[in-house]
Amino acid sequence: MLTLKDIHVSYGQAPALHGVSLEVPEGHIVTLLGANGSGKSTTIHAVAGLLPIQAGSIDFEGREIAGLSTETIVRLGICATLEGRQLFGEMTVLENLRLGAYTQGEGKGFDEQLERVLTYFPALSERLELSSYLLSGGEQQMLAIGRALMARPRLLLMDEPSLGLAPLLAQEMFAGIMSLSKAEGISVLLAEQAADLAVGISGYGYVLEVGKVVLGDTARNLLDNEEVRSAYLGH
Amino acid sequence: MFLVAFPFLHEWPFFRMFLSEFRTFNATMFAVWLLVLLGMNLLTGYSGQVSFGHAALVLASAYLTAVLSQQYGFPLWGAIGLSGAATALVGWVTIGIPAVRLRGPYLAIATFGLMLAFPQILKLNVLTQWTQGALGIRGGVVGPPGFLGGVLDGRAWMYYVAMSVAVAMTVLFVNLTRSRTGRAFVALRDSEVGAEQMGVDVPRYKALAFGVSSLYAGIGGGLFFAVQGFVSPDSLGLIDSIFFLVAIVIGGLGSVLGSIVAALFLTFQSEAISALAGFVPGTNNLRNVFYGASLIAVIVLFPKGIAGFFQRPLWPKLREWNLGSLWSSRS
Amino acid sequence: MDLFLQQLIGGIASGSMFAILALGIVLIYRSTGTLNFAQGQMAMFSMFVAWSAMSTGMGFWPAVLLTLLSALAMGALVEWLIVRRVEGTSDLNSLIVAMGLFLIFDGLALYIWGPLPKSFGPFSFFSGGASCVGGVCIGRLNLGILVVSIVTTALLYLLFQCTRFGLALRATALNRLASRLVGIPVGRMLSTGWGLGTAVGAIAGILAAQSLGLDIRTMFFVVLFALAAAVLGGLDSPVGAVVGGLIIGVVKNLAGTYTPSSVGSIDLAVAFAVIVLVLMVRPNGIFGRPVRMRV
Repeated sequence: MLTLKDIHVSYGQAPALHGVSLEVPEGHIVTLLGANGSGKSTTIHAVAGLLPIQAGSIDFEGREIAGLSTETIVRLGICATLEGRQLFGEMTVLENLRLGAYTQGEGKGFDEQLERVLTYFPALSERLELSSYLLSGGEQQMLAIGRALMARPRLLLMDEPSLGLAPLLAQEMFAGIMSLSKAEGISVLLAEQAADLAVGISGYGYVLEVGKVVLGDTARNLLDNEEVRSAYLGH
Repeated sequence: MFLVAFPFLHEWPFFRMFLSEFRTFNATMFAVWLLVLLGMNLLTGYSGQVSFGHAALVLASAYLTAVLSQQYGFPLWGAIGLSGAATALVGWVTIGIPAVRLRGPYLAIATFGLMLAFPQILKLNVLTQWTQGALGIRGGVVGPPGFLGGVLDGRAWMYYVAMSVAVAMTVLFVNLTRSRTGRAFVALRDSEVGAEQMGVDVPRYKALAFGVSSLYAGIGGGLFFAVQGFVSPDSLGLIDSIFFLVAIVIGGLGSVLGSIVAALFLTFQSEAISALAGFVPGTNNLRNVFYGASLIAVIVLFPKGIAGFFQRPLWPKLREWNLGSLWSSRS
Repeated sequence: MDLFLQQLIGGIASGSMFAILALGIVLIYRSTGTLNFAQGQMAMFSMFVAWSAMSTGMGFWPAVLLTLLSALAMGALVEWLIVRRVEGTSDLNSLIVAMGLFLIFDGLALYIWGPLPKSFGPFSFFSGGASCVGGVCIGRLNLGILVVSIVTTALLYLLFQCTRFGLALRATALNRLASRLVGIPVGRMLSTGWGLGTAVGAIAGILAAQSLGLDIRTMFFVVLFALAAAVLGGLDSPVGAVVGGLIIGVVKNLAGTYTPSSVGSIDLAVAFAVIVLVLMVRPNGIFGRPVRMRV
């Protein structure tokens, strides 16, 4: 459903991605592995339309989306959660969720969608009127994902969702992402440092090094690959 | 040579042909504006702070000079020096040091407020015994010292004094900006965080920049009174402060040459516009539109500052022009 | 006591006008971080637009409506054409650009309408007998100003708190990146912020003209009071702008009433003193946030 072909991105003069190609099949979870600065995060930003792309193409459900504005990309069905969560801190949880549905309007569908999202994150339903900066780290991450879901995406981009979470909580969250992806039929592209957990729930994985894909395979094969294991999976 | 000979030039028939409008008075005012704009440029172009109230500092010093010389019998030159020092102290201690805590827009508001409120303060009835209220203060005629009496008239003498002060303080300015202190100012304008990492005592230098800037405004103000022979609460106002800004931005922020261009601009802009209005009717009324558009154009085209623009070869400059931003409208 | 109450009411009325001008300044400051020193001259320009519309025979309220729409467009255009180019470069740049706008609108008004003051009101809504309760009266002019200010503030409150569009406007002011992530057209929101701020300023201008007349310099000093109000309330707080405006109005009136004539008029000095005092004691104002909460 999402195909990146030979994507080039640079910050000022310094190239950040040179020729990244990868694929996210419909309904699957795909993880990007790599060290800090390898271009995982940049790839996510590029797909979300947050960065200008110098060359290459991004195909989403048969449509070229490279160069489109983030607003259009969200409307086409791709939502992103970023590192640092990017919530509207001074607004309430409910307002954050309402903003998540900005592209959907607030008609009948809104209440329905809100209810569905809250079934995945019941903790949020008790805190709807709370300012979101008062939430715990885990709850904030739930809100970030919940807000993205409000836009009814078919592809979810996630940049470091486990950052700052306790290991147990991270594990729980990845389990949540997996069940959510299955139940809603949402494809996921994950960039993750805590790679073992992420690869565990993924169908496919790509290894990035200095702005290039050096290896792409099924999650199973990656888990079996000695080199990948010692370099990125920490055991 | 040219500067020394200037007052006599228009006595010669040859120069009279095209210098008739270049009166000595204009040249003297050029010296006054040069001082004020050097100060303004130090503040904005070098240390990156903004003041919409510089005309109020000039006006304050002009008043102090007027009061000291006309009512307390101080010699005029002593009064100017004293006023300059007092303005510097006021700028440093009461504006510069508190301003360190304020971010850009807040400092701008405070100086904007000072500018609008100051003429009203000068008109207060309780101060009338010194300020003469709205009438303003008139100065006596200042002639040259006796031994020059036969050679120079009062106007030429004033020209020499103002121009000497301006030249001396320009030299001082150049030395200051090339010194450690000057480099600290520039570092601070480019990035306060960066300057701090380089070991620059940011608050101290920001306050100091305000002090030195006020010294120039103060000496300029004292000379303003001496040259004009008159000062009133409405001699200088908000629009003059804005014109100071226009002048240094168009002349060139962060450069001495820029300040000289700025002073030329300020001295002759109104005559130039009037002359232009002779050919294109309505130009007079559109003046502020031109100036406003120029301000914006300079800032849009050179968002990193125009400093040094004239000192480098042309080709790399073209790439610096932020022309791309004119077309892109996506945020 | 009656004199005090009388002046208090007068102060609240003129304060409500400062409040909505300050509100315009705050809306613009929140949307792009530009402190719009041109707010007064842009309002003045809109007042002349209203005058022109009326001199073609248009009624007062239709002319006001037309003026507000043109102010909305004008503010949005200024953001889109100019402010966006320098956004995020530096405070210094955006302040210089604001001064550029000041000069442009000042000069355009002079070019189009000339230097002579125009007669502009008070219109029927603002003229008539005073209304009294007990010994305390409020003049029709002040009553009119107060009513228009309250309605304006209430409408803005409804827009920002109760509509999806207002929610998106607030979101954009809080966090641009997050706004883009949820699909808000951020650029359009920023232009709208400027447009709204300019339109609100135009209302303040029309109110000011009812008592001060219409002149290129009418708003020069009104802006100082509005700036004092915005600083007092906190530059990024709409509630603060309203409260600050009312306080400034009352303080200005009381100072004017109780200052002996041997001192002279001090209203501008008072506004300046308020600014300095607030910046010394509480630089973020009464309602301003000292540190932005970022999550």
